[in-house]
Amino acid sequence: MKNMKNKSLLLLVGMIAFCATIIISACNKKFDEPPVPTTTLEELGIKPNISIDGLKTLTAIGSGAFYPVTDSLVITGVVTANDKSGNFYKQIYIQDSTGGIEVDLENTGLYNSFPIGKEVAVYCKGLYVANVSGMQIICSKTIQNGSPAKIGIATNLITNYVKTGAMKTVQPIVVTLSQLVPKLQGSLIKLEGFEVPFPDVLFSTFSDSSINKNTVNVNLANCLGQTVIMRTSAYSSFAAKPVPTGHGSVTAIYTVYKSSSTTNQLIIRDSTDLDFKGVRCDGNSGIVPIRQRSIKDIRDYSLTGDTIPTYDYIEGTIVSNTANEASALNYRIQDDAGYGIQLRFTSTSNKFWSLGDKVRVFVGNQVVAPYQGDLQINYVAGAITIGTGTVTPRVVTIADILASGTDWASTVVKINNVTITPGNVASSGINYTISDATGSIATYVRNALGYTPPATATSLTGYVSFFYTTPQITLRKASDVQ
Amino acid sequence: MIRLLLFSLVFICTVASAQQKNRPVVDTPTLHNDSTEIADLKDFSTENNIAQVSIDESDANGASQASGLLNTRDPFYSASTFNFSVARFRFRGYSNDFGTTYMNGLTMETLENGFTPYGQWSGLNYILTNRKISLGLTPNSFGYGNIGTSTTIDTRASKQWKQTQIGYGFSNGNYTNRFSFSHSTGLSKNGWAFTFAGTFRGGNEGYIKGTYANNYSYFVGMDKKIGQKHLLSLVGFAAPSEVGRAGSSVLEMQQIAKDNYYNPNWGYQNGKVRNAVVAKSNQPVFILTHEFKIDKNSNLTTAAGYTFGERSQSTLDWYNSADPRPDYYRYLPSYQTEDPNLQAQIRDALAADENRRQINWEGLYNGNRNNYEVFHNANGVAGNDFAGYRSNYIVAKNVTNTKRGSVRTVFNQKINKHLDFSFGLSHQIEKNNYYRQIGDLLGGTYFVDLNQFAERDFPSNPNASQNDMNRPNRIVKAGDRYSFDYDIVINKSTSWSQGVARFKNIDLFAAAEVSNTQFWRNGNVKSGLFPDNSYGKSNEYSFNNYSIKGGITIKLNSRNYFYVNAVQMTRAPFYRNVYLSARTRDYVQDNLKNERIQSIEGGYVMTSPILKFRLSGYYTRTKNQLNVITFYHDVYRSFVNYALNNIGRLDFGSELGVESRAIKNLVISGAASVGRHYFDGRPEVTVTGDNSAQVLAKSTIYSQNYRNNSPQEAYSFGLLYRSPNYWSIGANVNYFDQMWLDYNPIRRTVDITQGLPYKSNLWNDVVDQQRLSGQTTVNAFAFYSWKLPSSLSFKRKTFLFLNFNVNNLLDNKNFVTGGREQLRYDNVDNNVDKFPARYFYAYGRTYSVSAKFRF
Repeated sequence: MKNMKNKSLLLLVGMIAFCATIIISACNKKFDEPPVPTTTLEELGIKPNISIDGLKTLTAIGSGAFYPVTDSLVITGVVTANDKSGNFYKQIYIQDSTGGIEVDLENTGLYNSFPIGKEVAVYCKGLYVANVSGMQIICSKTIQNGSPAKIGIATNLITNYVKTGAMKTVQPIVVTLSQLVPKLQGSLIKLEGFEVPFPDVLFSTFSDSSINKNTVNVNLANCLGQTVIMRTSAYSSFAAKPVPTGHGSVTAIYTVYKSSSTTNQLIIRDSTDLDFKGVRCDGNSGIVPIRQRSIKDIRDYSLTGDTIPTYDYIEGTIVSNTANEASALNYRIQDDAGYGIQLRFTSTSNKFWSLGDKVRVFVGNQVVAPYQGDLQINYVAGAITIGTGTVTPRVVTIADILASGTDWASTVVKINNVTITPGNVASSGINYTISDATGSIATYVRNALGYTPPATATSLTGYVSFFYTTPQITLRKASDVQ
Repeated sequence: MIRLLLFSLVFICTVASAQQKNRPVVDTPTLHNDSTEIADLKDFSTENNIAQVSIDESDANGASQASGLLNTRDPFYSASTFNFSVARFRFRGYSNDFGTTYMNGLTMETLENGFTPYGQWSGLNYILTNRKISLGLTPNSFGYGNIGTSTTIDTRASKQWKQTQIGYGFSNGNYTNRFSFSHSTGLSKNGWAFTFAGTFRGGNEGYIKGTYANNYSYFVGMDKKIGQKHLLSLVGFAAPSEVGRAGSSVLEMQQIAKDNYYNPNWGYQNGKVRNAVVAKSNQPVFILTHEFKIDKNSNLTTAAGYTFGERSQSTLDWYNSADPRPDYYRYLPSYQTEDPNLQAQIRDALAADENRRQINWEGLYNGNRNNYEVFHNANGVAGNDFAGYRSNYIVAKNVTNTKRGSVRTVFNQKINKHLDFSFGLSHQIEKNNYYRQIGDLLGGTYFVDLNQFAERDFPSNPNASQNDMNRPNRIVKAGDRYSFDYDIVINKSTSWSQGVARFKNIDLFAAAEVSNTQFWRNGNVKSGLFPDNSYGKSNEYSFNNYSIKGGITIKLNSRNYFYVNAVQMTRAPFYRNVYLSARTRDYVQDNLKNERIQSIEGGYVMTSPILKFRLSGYYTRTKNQLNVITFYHDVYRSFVNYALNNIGRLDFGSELGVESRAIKNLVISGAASVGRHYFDGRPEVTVTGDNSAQVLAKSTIYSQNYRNNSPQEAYSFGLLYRSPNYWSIGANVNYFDQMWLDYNPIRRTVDITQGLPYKSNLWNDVVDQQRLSGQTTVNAFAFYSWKLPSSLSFKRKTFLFLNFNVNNLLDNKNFVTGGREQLRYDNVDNNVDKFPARYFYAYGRTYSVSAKFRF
């Protein structure tokens, strides 16, 4: 019996121990956090044996060539620019007291390991210094399509060549435009007294926010009228931001693009590098006195041939589709008052708008003139997208259109119960005749639209265009014909 | 006293080994939560790379009861369950949703994917011994069943043997230590019965470096017999588990690491191994069962159950930063396609330093702590600045929170000595909440709930990047939800009936089932990309289905049978194959329709005391299946959803099982499965962008007669010597062949092949399905049971059981059990090696030792 008790006791103890084991092992201990590295390069015993400027002098080589570093050269510096905003890609800039240089690393998100201010040492032996259009770049070399090509230091090799230390403060070198000498290439510099000049300031964004992702140059000017290019990648996080309208300092990496001549290009690290809070050269405190005009008012300038006042703009919704236009630069816009106009942009100001985009178009200093019968503003320098708009078509008969004169030019109309007859075939498209009970009108469907209208339709929508004095209809999309 | 000492010894071992620092193990190499392969996520619960025969199963031997003709004692089934699982063999090539499990009268499988959630009772083997399994279309009294296997488990307290079991096991496989305990009181005089059980499995690192498991389970059961006719049972159980998983990787990294078990999921943090992919689960189950013995010929069983809780898997997530996974393709030597010198440098660097092959946790922490940032307009409030260290790297958790309630009733009536009738009804409601949560900010202080891909693709649409327009620019911290958050609600009602007739020389049966399945999505966040289709309730989708089956068994005599069974059925699609991208929106596939399945099976069975033999064949055709896969597309340069419809499957083959006891004390067993498991027909695919509603392409997948991934041929031969002195020893040899790698449907479209010279080597490399080489395994085991003399015994007769198992005795470490071509494909250069296949390997030699007291 006693034995029995013992066993029960033991069983009980066993059970408790079992539960305790489970409970103890169920406690998850938190992982220990690694310490923040605060050791400086000096404390790590890392010392440079050549300055950055010294390295650049030593490795100077012609554009497109690679200088292989075979000696155990070590440079140190602090990070002055990285890829945080996306304006730099797979590259950082480091700088010591003698100058700065680009270091290419074959990875993204470099700012995690190389924040601005981080001490960096580069062990150059085994690397290359490439000359890319005048800029010297520390990099690695690979082969692309059979030819030597620049590549960043491979991710898994970075720690072989690049060591980091503690955080230091970074001060840009304050210079004037004329002091941008070759020795400063690759350095973080600061220019005082700049602004985005008029009219660019009205419509410029830092870079291209369209799907084309083109890199964009924005001119910066001082009050003496001297300019310098600010070059910004469309992949930067601030690409779609409008440029600031004030006046002040610009902090940027100084680079050059050298082909037959040498062009200075400033590359900012983030939009905040433009500290434009001051009063502009013209005395405006960052506010440009722009004025909205109706499209009707602007059309009326064609009567006098006068130039549109500098600060005027119009707003409207794109009612055309470039696929059915003579040029990808041509757009028609219509405003809420029911007037329209044809716009022809410059290739640099074209932002590849789509049907339905609402735009603000800066038309100052332009003239309005007929082009093959349609009123047009040519060489439009700038516009910004302000959203999307809807345009309700005027429901009309063909006779109405023929009788309307030019008032409905570049505006959307809808004609019910039509027949559509194909006519001449041209190299870029096909002519059709549209008829309703009241009359007939022509339309030209370009091959690029990729659409063939049916023989009859209960409704047809398009905008009114002119071929000299003859009104026509221009279709925009397949659903224009129902 | 000796017995006390003996017991204490086992107990001390138990505690001592438990005190070893609990470190990782795992069974199932995983999936990466590859952001390039979201599709993986939806399958993470099913990816059983290495289904090891664990100590658990060896304990459960021989406890099953017979049911019908094809059952647990079937020689083929015994061999295939234990010996074939290493090769990821699936019964007749069927997917897991072709199996059904009932427990205490309730249907257990999830409505989410039709899988049986074995994990909910994983480890509770001591109380799972009352199991009946019927194979194929065989009728059974507990339910209509399924095409593949139908299992019923009775865990009710009064059905457990009155006994106590305490066990300990040690292994170098999935678990280091296993402790088990169960105690059942049996039915008392006043009609009560209780069962308690608990287990722990885990400790130390698993077979694969970086893996670990800490799995618990507990069970409480209580029965009350009321009068002679009513039995009321309540069980509650759960299996909280935490598993650090292994990830599959590419051959290149396995070769550099000189390790087929190279696991990219972990890295050192302050000198300790930390795994980034941790699966956790805790979903308790409660079942209340009422059994009413109306009279000696009729029985009514009614059950109601509820299960709830979370399962999750962690993964690294990152924002505007480089991919932190060490085997990301751009970091590997092969990415430097043209420069052998650079390749060699990178290969050497990777080979020389293990840290370069693993996650750099310290780098992730430093990145976050370097990133002090003032975030403007935080939480959607204009001018609200939030300052701190913005984490770019985090550990995220993909969580599924399930609530599932079901009721089911089954009525069995013996009409006369020839005729049995069964009828049943069931209703299930399941609500799953899927969301992502911040697990660890890795040294940073905040994260912002933004969609970086939309930010990049739609720079001028400020709403596009908002994961939740109702709470824009939301600052999130550890434990907060972010990214996606939606519910799927699924209801299913079923009714079935069955008649079985038994005569002297012939048995006949017929059964029918009708069901209705309904589901919808309910979005909890308003995505900036799909503001009108992400928040709130979607349309409801409803599917009506039927199934009829019947069969005939000819009994030549009491030992020789011929049978043939057939079924024709339809089945509702699973929601995850219906929604194009349930994480972001409620768009569904076009042409939703039910799957159609037809199957016929037949064979010859012989059972005699000295010989069991079964030879059977099956032919199963499945039509109209749907699937949705999501991955990064190199031409569209975006994540895309491939919605496949009209997927067909054809599975046919034969099974052979033999078990001979002709020689005294020796059991000779053999099993063979020779089948062909084809994809049948050409699925149509509709491609949509994950970031936009646009249909990018429609295409046909030329996958007729491609193989599915279960070994098409598997053979087993085993010997077991049973000594009259209560020990036994045995071994078996298994061979697998006709194993095929999972293929990427994208590579079998005209879009890809049109650019390739027809039947050129490149064309074949792109199109051909890869066959894996045939493999052999040898397993051995020994067993000893000892009835302790009464001086060593507890109150009742006490037995000590000792078990020793060795799997893969020949230490074959080159056994590729499966894998898959990556969905991401280099459509630009058609370089099949840029995103090469990922492989799983069977474990090398593993052993387990276990001891158990039963009294």
